Amino acid sequence: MLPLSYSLRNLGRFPWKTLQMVLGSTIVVFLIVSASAFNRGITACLSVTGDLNNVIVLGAGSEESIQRSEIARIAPDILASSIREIRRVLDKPAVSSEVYYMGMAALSDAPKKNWPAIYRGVTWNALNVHRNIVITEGRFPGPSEVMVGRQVARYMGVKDSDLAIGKSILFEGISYSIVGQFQGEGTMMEAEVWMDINDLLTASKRETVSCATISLSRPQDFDAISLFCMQRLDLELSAIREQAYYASLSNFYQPIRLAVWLTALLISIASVFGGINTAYAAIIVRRREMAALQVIGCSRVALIFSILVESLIINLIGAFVSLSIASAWLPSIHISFSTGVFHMIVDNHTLILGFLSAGIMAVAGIIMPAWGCLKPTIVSSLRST
Amino acid sequence: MKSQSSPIIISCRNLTKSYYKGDTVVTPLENLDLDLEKGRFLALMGPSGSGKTTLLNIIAGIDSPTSGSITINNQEISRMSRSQLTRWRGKSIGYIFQLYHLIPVLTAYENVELPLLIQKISRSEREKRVLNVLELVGLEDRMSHFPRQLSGGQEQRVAIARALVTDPMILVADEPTGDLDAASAQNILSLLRQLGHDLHKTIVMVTHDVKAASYADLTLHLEKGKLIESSPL
Ligand SMILES: Nc1ncnc2c1ncn2[C@@H]1O[C@H](COP(=O)(O)OP(=O)(O)OP(=O)(O)O)[C@@H](O)[C@H]1O
Ligand SMILES: [Mg+2]
Repeated sequence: MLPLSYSLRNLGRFPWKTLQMVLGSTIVVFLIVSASAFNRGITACLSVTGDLNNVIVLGAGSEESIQRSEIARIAPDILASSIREIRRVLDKPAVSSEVYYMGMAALSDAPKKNWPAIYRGVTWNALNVHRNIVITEGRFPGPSEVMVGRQVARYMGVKDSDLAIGKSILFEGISYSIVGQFQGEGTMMEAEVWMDINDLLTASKRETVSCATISLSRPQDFDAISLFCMQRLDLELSAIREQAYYASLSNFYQPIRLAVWLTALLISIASVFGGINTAYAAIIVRRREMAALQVIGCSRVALIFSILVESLIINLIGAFVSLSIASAWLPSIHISFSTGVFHMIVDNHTLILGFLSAGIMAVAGIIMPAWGCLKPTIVSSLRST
Repeated sequence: MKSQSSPIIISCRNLTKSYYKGDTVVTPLENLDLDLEKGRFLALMGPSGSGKTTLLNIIAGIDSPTSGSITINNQEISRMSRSQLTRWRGKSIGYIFQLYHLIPVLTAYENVELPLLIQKISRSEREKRVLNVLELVGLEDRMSHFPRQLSGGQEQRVAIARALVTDPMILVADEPTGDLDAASAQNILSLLRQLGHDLHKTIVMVTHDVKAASYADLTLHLEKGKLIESSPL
């Protein structure tokens, strides 16, 4: 085997080319890691939102969208009194009657300007059903009051201080004072404004509610609700597990995820080809040197290995740089999408992916130049100029 | 002729080498025979394109004959596989190039050490041997210089040290002074002759230059694919 110092010093031979290759590798790894962090972020946000024990009862025909769904105002009460399998909290069935509404909001300090906002009209029972929602400050809203999730400011695009307790927001011309703040373990609900269900029904001029969210004692009791919905055709209900609902939302974002991957891959491929070109130029000039090394007894395997070491060093430096940037920067990036806010996720999985792609690039990058240098016979390489 | 008892170290029988370039065939070596005794210093001469380098490369095991056989030290190298040849070369042949072919990123010391590293020889043994050959070529004070910091003659002496460090049976040199000025050339040639004599090496040297050939104790001319013994005029 050739000494490591040979590989290391070869990197200093064409410093500009080496730098170019490190940069190329940094960019590719960063793109791949960002795409992965984006997709893991969106998937994680949607998947934590569903509770295994929860069932959403929607209007039949609107199973994909709470936004469009309508059920009779009385339906949640009928469900609560008819199904025994529903979990009971303080001897009351855990059924949350909810209105989901995507509208606008203005700050009372700046009443002219409107921002998009997601409203959920709820009763106290909501906290018995959405068990990962925790009020971090203030209290649950009563009439003419709201509480805001910790991502609402981000979703709307306003400052956190604009939504501090004591401030108020304007919705359809009516002012609601902010009395509480909540968090929800990274779920999409963190981007929602929760208010009294009757206030929201009035403000949105609705006569029906959007859905009933039900908490079961045991996940397998889902069938009981499903059966009930099928028997009570008059209510036009349809039951879906909360997790299944968000998983299907996740499918809805599949094309975006694909587009993100595709963009990252296309730019990466272009960059990898650039890198191969540079590597080829840097290595092919050593063709005669490699032939001479073979003359003095060095095997082709040893030569390939030493080029591979050079390539690995370059790509690992690239991976190290981009993973450092990625883990410092990406998690702080929050992205709003139509129904919530998620943040990019950099974890072990992302790091492994980054190093893996660097490894693949290291190998891919030397195939052509190694072939160009080592395929010809020693004699013809020595004769080449 | 020197001692009659010296065994034959290089033996070629009916050696033919053809190169195919599209439709044209070039046959620089045709049914060539050669027997060279151990310890001799042979100069190979001949016009450009006559096949000198080709023959040298076949002897050195980096090219293979189209037909015929070549036996070195009783081993028929024309039958060896590529990887066997690589290993055999490392141990048995010291190759000296016209353009030195030192590794530019390695110092003189490291260049000379390289063949020993490839053969996985222990560190202390390497150090002993490298220092020894560098002293033989008179470059012990240039050990840590890189090739670009050396003159052509010095580079070639490093290359000779690299060729000698594995203690090979045979040294081959392809116009080793072709790129040097007259003084350096003489220097290198007497070094080669002296080392060949002192260390009992068999040397095959290709040269254009009659004066260079005069350092050898035997000169053969390549003509029309065959070797002709004649003393240079
Ligand atoms: N790898 C090769 N492919 C094709 N033809 C070759 C190859 N090597 C040598 N030849 C041809 O074989 C002939 C002999 O070449 P060789 O290099 O052995 O000559 P030479 O005697 O060393 O010449 P010079 O004195 O110019 O170095 C030439 O005609 C050359 O073109
Ligand atoms: Mg030649």
